[in-house]
Order: sequence, then C-alpha cells, then structure tokens
Amino acid sequence: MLVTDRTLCPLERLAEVVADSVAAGVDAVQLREPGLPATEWLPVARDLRRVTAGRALLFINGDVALAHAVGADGLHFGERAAGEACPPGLLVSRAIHSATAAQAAERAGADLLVLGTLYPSRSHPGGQTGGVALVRAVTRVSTLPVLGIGGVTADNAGKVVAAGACGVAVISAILAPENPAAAARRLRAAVDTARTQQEQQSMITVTVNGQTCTLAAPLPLPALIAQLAISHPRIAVALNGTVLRQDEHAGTLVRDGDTLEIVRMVGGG
Amino acid sequence: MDDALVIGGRRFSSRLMLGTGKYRSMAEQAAAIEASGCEIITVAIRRLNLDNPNEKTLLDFIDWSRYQILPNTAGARTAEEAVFTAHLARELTGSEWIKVEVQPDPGSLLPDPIDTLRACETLVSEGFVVLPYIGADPILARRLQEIGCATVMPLGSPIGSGQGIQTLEEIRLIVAQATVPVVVDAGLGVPSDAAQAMEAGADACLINTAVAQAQDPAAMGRAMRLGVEAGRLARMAGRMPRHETATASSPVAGLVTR
Repeated sequence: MLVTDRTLCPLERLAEVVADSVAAGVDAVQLREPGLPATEWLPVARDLRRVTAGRALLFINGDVALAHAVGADGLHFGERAAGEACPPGLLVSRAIHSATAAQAAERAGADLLVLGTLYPSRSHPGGQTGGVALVRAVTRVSTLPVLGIGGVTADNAGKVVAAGACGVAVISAILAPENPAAAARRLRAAVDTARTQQEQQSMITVTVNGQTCTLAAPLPLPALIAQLAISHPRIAVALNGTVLRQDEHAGTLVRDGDTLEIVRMVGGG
Repeated sequence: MDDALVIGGRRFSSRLMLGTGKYRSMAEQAAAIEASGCEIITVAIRRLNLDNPNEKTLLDFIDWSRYQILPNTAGARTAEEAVFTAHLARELTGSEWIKVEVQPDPGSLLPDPIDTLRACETLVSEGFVVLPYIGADPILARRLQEIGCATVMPLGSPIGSGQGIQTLEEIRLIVAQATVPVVVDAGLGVPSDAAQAMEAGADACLINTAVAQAQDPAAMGRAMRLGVEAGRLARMAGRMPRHETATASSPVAGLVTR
C-alpha cells in the first residue's frame, strides 16, 4: 500500500506518481493529506480514482462522504477514530499499534490492519517502534490481513512479511526516491519473495481418511473442509483419534502431521 | 390395545426395524421403508469419499424427525474401534442410540462376544442407548442386560444369509430371562422367519437384506411387517398345546351312519 504525502510528492504530480507506482506493483493506495483544505480533496481523490480504477484499491483516510463521492474501495481510520460511520460496501482499513487494538478492530468489523510503527520513520520521528516482534504479536491473534508500516524499505520488507504480515505500507520508501516506480518495483519484489518463502514453509501435510493431503497453513478445521470442497451437511470429524463435537470444529486448528477421519452416514444393517 | 415396544424410554408401535444397506435404488428403498411401517432405521458410518465428497444418498433426504435413527458400528474389529465409531456416530446423528457390532472375522461376520461386552460397558457408562448385536448366547445376553444395555439382539443366522432362524432354542432361553427387549437380528429371509421369531417371544425383528434384495422390496417390506405383526399377535394370543397324536376337531358323538 502506498500512502500519499504532499510534502514528499506535490499534489500536481501525485496522480502520475501513483499511476507509475501502481504499474510497478502497488496494490493499494491510501489518500492521506492531513490539513489539506476541504476544497482540494475532491479533485485529488478523483484523479487517484482514475489512475487506480481496476488496477489498485483506493482508500480514503477518514472521509466517508469523499470516499462515496469518488467511488473509493475503502476507508482508512486511525486507531482511536470511531468507525461506526463506515457504511456497508466499503472496505475498512484500520491503523493499529498493538495486539489488543488488532482484536478490537477485528471485532469492530475492520477488513485490513495497518500495523505500526515498525521502524523509525520520517513521518513519526522519535516514536516507539515495534519491529518484527510487534508483527508476530499481532498476526498471532488476528486473522485479518496485516500491512506493516513505519520505516519500511525494500531492505526490511521481507522480514516484515516473514514475521506474518501479508504486505507493507509505505510513504517515503516510494515517494522520496528520485524514481518512485523503481522503488515500488524493488519493494514489490522483496514482498513477493518473502511471501513465496512464507507460503512454502507454511504448507502442511495431513492424512485425511487415509489419504495424504498437502494444504496451506495455518489451517482451521472449517478451512480444511473448504479446501477439500466438502459441503456435505452431515459429517463428523475425528482429529488424531479423538472425535470432535460439532461446536468444536470452528475453534480447531489442524497441524502438520495430524490425522483426520471425516465420516458420513451410508446405508447399513 | 396398547402394545408398545419401549426401548431407551421411547415407545414404538412398529416392531420391525429396517436396515438401509444393499438397496438397488433410492426409490426402492424409500418405498420399502414406507411399506414396512418401521419406526427405527439403521445406518452405517463410513469415511467420506474425498473424490466425491458431496454425494447424496437417500439417508440425506429421509425426514429423521419421523424415525429413530440407529447407527451401527459394523466393520469394527475390536471394542476400541466400535467405541470410536460410536463417538463419530453420536456427533453425526445427534442421537445417543448405537447398535454395537464387533466383527473380527469378515468371512463369517459373527460377533465377538468379549469385545462386544467390553464396548457395551464403555458406551453404557458414557450414556449411550446401547443395542448390541450378539450370537444367540443366553449367558452373554444376560450379562449385557445386567450392565445396562437397552436391548439384546441375537442373530437368527449369519448376516445377509437369509437362512432363517437356526437358533430358535437359544432365542427362547434369551426371551425367558429377558429384562430388556429381545430383537432378532440377521438371517431372516421371509415373513415366516419373522413370525417364528415373534412367536418365540422376540420383541422385535431387524431386517435388511431380505427386503433390500427382494424382487419387489416394497412388497416384501409390507410382507415382513405383516409377518412380524402376525407373530406378535400369535405370541400374545397364546398358542395351543402340542399333542403327540391327532385329536379330532369335529365331535366324535352323534356320527351319522347308514
């Protein structure tokens, strides 16, 4: 995710820089311009929508009416901002700084978490930083996608993803360099490499009804059932020889090496 | 006349239980279940076929609010496997009823008396309503009713054999001592077999293959229902004493002569 900042990229150049960055691998753009006069928001947002349409998600920081006016994909809120005003049909991205805030945001209906501050950054100098430990702490308790933010560069983005983030959000790593598109490409490559490694590491092998299956982890039991394309309404499941109650399925995590039996009724005497 | 069959606290007016294996089609199975008037239906528990995980059978369409479902542990070779299958069955069906079958020998399918008793002890202690399938052994039947089984289910002859009742004297002994319903299970081939079991004092019959593999399963379902009912009525009516020799039905006095 690219977060805008007119002190690094003037508004008159923003649409062009965003378009180049999206072409270079940015998947989402957050329009964040604190202190911008109200009259200037709309044309900027319209421009960004035009260059991101069909290519990248556009999030508007805090302004519900503006998000609707330009047909944005979602809204971004700060950790302490009230989210009730968010109408249905828009994604909600939420800034968070702790595992507790992640859980609160998830309960409040967020779709995406932007977690910071990971490293010392230009926009929050001298503040507290959490590094990859903070990423691990949050991704352990939350099922939502997490983007790491704060001092993220092509050099440390891989570590952020390896710690469990699904991607990164940056301002200066793309907007500060002479060539934003090249910077975006380097970041994207670092994220993609780390994600591929992460996925390979997180494949697990389980035995289901005597068959060996290799599946993506972490794997809650309902996800395993979905991955096996099972929609039969009447099944029972045993995990490593212990029969699970129906109400235990949702909270059960399947691990590497587990053995499952999934059974159904058949005709019999 | 209230002549209810009571198992595990539930009352049934039908004394014929039906199995659901080996039918040629869902339509024949549905018609047979309807014609038999049964209220208790047995099912087996098997692995979901991962290559066709959402395949439906008639069992997925039966209105289970109309029937007592009776899952079995058929295929279990040990007490432990039977208990495991029972646990799966309880989650699958939502019912505590379980027909315990432990068959270590796939050729004869004869029940293992020792592991059957062990499995029943465990399942009774866990709150299941336990209906064990057993050889027609009066001592084992007594032990099972003593530990709290809901019925005993002695076989008439081997499963699926249609040989009728080869164990009549043992079934009579089991009936004579019974404190729980006696259900004759396995081997019945025709309605006269069912009637014979009921006349001997059995409380119910469980039939599968004889109906499923009949030329006309629905007609045989109805025939079995009538056979069970006839045998039950005869048992209640009380049969006449047997005589060594003929005794004339017509008066011997006042014979017409010429």
